Amino acid sequence: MSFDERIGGVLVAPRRTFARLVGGEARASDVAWLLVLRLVAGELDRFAHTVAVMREFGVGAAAQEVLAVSSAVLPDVVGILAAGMMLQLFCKAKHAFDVAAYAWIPYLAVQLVAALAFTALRLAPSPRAQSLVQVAGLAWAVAAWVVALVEARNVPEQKVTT
Amino acid sequence: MSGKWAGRALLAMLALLFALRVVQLKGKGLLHVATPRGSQAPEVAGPLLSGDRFRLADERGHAVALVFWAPWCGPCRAELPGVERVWKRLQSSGHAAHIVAVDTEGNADTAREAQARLGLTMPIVLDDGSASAAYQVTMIPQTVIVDGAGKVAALIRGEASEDELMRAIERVERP
Repeated sequence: MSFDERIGGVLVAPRRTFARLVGGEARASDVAWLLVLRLVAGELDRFAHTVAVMREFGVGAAAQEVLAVSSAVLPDVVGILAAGMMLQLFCKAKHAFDVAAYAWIPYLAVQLVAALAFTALRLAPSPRAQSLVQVAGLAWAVAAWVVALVEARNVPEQKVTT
Repeated sequence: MSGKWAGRALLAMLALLFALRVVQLKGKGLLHVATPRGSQAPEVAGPLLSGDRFRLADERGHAVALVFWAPWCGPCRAELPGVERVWKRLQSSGHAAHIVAVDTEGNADTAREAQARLGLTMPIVLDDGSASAAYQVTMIPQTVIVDGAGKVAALIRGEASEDELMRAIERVERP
């Protein structure tokens, strides 16, 4: 499977895709790349401001800003780690940790659609709208994680560990 | 839709979001700092938790450190006890410099709760959003040090240690 197929398959054909990911086609770098892209696209204004801060107040101030901006993906990273540990707990699949990370992709997709809509309409999302987006994304991610778990437990032992 | 196309759609959405943000950057003025060093510090005015009123314009003649924070912000809660100790050191050593904590949330109840929990006695001013906007506070905690002439002299983004804050204030007082 190509990169496109691996990340897109989780959204439109989760059972088939997770079965193949569990079978050894998962790549830890896929989700890492998506996290970086999400950070750059989502927090571009704050990164741009960091450049202005660096010009005016020096590298130290800019470094603090970069750390603060990067912390925007911290909840995502914690969620991915937790999902990985849980999957590892429930099944002994060799790539369980990498596979679990793919369950974050539906959450990213919901966040992206919402961010695009709000950005295009130049609207500031209300706290209620933000909560709705969070819940929808999390619900889809949890559903994907359950599919990953089912597929990981279904795969024969020798196929999983090779 | 096949997985391949769904994946491409996801990447296209990321690219589109990036492009939209680039377009919007132009109008936001984020590519320059609103309060560069040496510029006139925008006015900060608002009610103090103690009941009085604070006006930055009344503080000419000595340095003022404006510490932007919010009660819900973890790094702010970690920083403020140290800021409080610096404030007490300034008071006891006869420094003219002042420290004012600017609550960006502007909610007296939550500010009072945080004040009690953290044992703060330094002045806390409630911001209605105008000071945060004028100083372009995109992250907290953030400390802006204004000199005696009312000009922006230093900026500390993120959590400042006691030593860092004290040194910055002393540098502004004795340039």
